[in-house]
This record gives sequence, C-alpha cells and structure tokens, in this order.
Amino acid sequence: MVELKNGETYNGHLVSCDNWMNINLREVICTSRDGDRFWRMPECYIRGSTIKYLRIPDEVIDMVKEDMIQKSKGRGDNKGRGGGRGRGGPGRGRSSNGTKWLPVEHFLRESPPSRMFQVWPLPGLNKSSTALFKFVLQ
Amino acid sequence: MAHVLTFSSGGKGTLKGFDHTINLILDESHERVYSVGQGVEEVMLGLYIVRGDNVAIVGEVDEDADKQLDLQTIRAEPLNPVVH
Repeated sequence: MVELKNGETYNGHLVSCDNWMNINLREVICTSRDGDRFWRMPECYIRGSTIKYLRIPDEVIDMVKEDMIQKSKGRGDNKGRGGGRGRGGPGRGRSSNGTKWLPVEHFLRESPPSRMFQVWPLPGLNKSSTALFKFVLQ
Repeated sequence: MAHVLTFSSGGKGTLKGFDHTINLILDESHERVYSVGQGVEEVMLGLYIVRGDNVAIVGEVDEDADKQLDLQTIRAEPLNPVVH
C-alpha cells in the first residue's frame, strides 16, 4: 500500500521500482483522500517524490534478512562489511542487485553518536530504500 | 535493537534501516494520536517505509522514560499544518 503526500492511497502488487522510488503497481485500487471514492485500474506508475510512505506486509522484512544471508554466502565476503572506506568509492561497480543494506544494529554498535554523519558514505547506506523492494522482487 | 520516534506527525517503531535521504524502514511501527478530548490513542501500523521527505525528527526512544508515561492522561492540541 502506497500513500501519497496528497493523502491518496494506492493498493496493489509491486511490479518494479527504481532508485528514485518510482514504482509500478498492478491490480491497483486507488482511494481518494477522504476515503469515500475508489478507482480500480489494471496498472499504474507512481513518481517516487510524491510518496509519503509505503505500508508493506510484515513478512517482507524476514525475506530480506534471508536474502542477505544467502547473498553473502554466495559471495563469501561477509567479513569486511562496513570497513569499506578507502577501498575505492562507496558502492561503485556494484550491481543494483548487489546492493547491501546494513542493519541498523551495525550502525549503532560500530559508531559512537558523535560520528553519526561519517557513516553515510559507507557502502550500503547510500542506496535508497527501494533496495528493499528489489529483494522482494527476486 | 533501537526503538525510534519519528516526527512526521508522530509515530514510533523499530528502526530496521535507513539511507542518506532519511528514508526509514520501521518495523512494528505505531502511531500515537494525541487529542484534546481524550487520552492518547495508539494505532498499530506494522512494517513501513517512510519516505525521507516527510521526516522531521528521528530519535532513539528512552524506553524507561517512555514506560513511565501515562498515555491516558496526556492531552494535546492538534499540530499546525506542515509548512514546507
């Protein structure tokens, strides 16, 4: 479920998305701001910048976790995560599927609060949350 | 696990991820609805991705202080509309 900044909501199946959070939905039901008018449409495309938030089934977060574990096993480079500063540009040359999201526990453990803003350029933190969708789509 | 409070309009959840545009992934998120006439109402929302544009404040919740709040006695005036 996607709610836009104008209050309209779009319920549908996520087909695709990009790094700007632009998204494609199928089998959509659009609900007006006041909630008493509805439109059904076979598909729609939503510009990312108009989105307020997305409501996602709870199971998805576990799917992401499994996916990350599988991916790191496949590549065998689970170590060295977060220590990537100085090894070339952040996230450069990484395929969009190889996007790494760091769990927030990592951030809180590794970085004292005063260094908070130095964390941003680390690999994995510089991708938009559409990476989460990409996991879902695979 | 860090519980965070985000102020777009006032919600709370467990921060699972974020990025440089302050998009947030909040698990077990809930909204606190403040009103003048009655105590605070909590609405469970579940898993959310909040787009960074709408986030005004994110902060870690002091669990002890939070537990001591008596939500039933808290009253609050509605916030003014957001001005960009």
